[in-house]
Amino acid sequence: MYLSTEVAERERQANQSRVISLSTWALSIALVGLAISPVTRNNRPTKTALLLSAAALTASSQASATNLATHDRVLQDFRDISDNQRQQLIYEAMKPADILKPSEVIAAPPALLTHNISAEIAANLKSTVLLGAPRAGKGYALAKALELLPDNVDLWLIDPKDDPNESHYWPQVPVTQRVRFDVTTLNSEAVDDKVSGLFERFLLASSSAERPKLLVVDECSPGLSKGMTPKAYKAFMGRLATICSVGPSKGKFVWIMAQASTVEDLAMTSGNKASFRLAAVGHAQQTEKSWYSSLKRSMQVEPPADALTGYIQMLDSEWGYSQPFQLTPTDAHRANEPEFGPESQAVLEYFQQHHPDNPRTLRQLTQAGFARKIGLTSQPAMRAAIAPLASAELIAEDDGGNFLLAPS
Amino acid sequence: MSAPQILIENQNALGHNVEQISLDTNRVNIHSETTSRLANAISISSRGLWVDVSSWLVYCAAAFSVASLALDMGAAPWAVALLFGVPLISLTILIGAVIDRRPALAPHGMIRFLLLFIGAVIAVS
Repeated sequence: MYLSTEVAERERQANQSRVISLSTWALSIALVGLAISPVTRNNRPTKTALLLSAAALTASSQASATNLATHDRVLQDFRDISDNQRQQLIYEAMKPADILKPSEVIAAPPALLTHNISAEIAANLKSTVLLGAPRAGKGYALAKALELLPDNVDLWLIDPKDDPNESHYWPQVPVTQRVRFDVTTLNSEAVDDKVSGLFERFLLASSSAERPKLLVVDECSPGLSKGMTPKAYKAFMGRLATICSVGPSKGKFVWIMAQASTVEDLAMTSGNKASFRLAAVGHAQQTEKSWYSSLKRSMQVEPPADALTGYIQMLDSEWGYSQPFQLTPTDAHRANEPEFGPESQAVLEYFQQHHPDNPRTLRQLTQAGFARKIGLTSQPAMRAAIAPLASAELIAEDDGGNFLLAPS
Repeated sequence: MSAPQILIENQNALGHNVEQISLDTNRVNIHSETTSRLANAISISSRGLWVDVSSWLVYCAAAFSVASLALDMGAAPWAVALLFGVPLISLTILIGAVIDRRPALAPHGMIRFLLLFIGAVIAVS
């Protein structure tokens, strides 16, 4: 940093030199004018003295001009230095993105959504088609949604799987309003009878906007589409499509679960898409790519972004991370099993074993030994592994983007 | 002025090799250095035009007025001719040399002669 007093002194000297130089120069011209004026023209000694004085003043004028040049040069040096320092200060205050040229700036990828299908479809009752690959968790997502529904909803269920592992999914549905059977053990006519029997009772049951009725059809396709006779299945699906489009005003709703690979079996296509809500669940790595492409073929839903990992959900044609299910007391017997994937589990163990109080950035985590071992070397993958832990409030993120173990 | 050249001979497995290199040097060419300094003295400055011209005029007028006064006061003409003629001839030779070496500065040299003449007129009139 230069001394401002020194600069001020230099400026004072420069101005002084400028004044002296100009005034002596003007004076010398005036003396020459006086020397050739009629008053002194004939007085030779006076004229010579005037011209000699003019020459002396000219000499001092030139000397002052030389000083002025020196002062100006020093002042210019000070300006250059302070320019550099100002530039340096501006540079230090800038963010890295500002320093890059516009052509070098890499646009940040769009933020990835996090869906909670269960909460979202329970919050706003509407006829819904939930598509999901096998073992992707669509039954569990819908069971959670049933838990979140208000009490005034009249629940009905057709469950052609009758999987004992999933028997705890539907405790809210009254026993008299559910039909559960194993479609693989029955012939088509028997399945027709069971489905149409419950469906007739569902249609006849009273409903209003204050007490809506909701029919949950599990495993509609391929379970029912292959299990029922084609004629009965077509009639059944036609009625479901009608309920989708005209039911809401009468308080009639259906929730249909199916696998997207056979979605053509459903009466719901992209043509009458507006009458129902389309949701889907899948797994970014474990679900086959062909499942997503068939979903795109039948429903024009774009496949999920490559950055997504783990269990993912789709709502309104947008794929996002799946928010982990909140455990409820009825799930107590399942609480001992970890809900998290192996990657999230590894991250949690790393935090618990290595200085729990020490916050870490995403970059530090990807460079840790455990991350290299299980292949979590990219920051999006690490963020995906942390997301379920953060949702479960086991790991917290502070304002600076550092992660640390949440106090238990 | 060209830099000194030297030869380096080398005999190795690849054969006999002679290489000529030029030594780096910081010596200046005296002739061109003299020319540029003379040209700087005679050429009319573009930055300080009025000060430059008027100071030349004033110095010439002062010198001629001193010579004129000396003659008026009875000094020997040969002494005055010797004292003021030698610098005057030197200056003339200088301007001529600049015009010779840098023909582009011929107008500048002519203006210097003109200023010399005007200075003499101011002193003598």
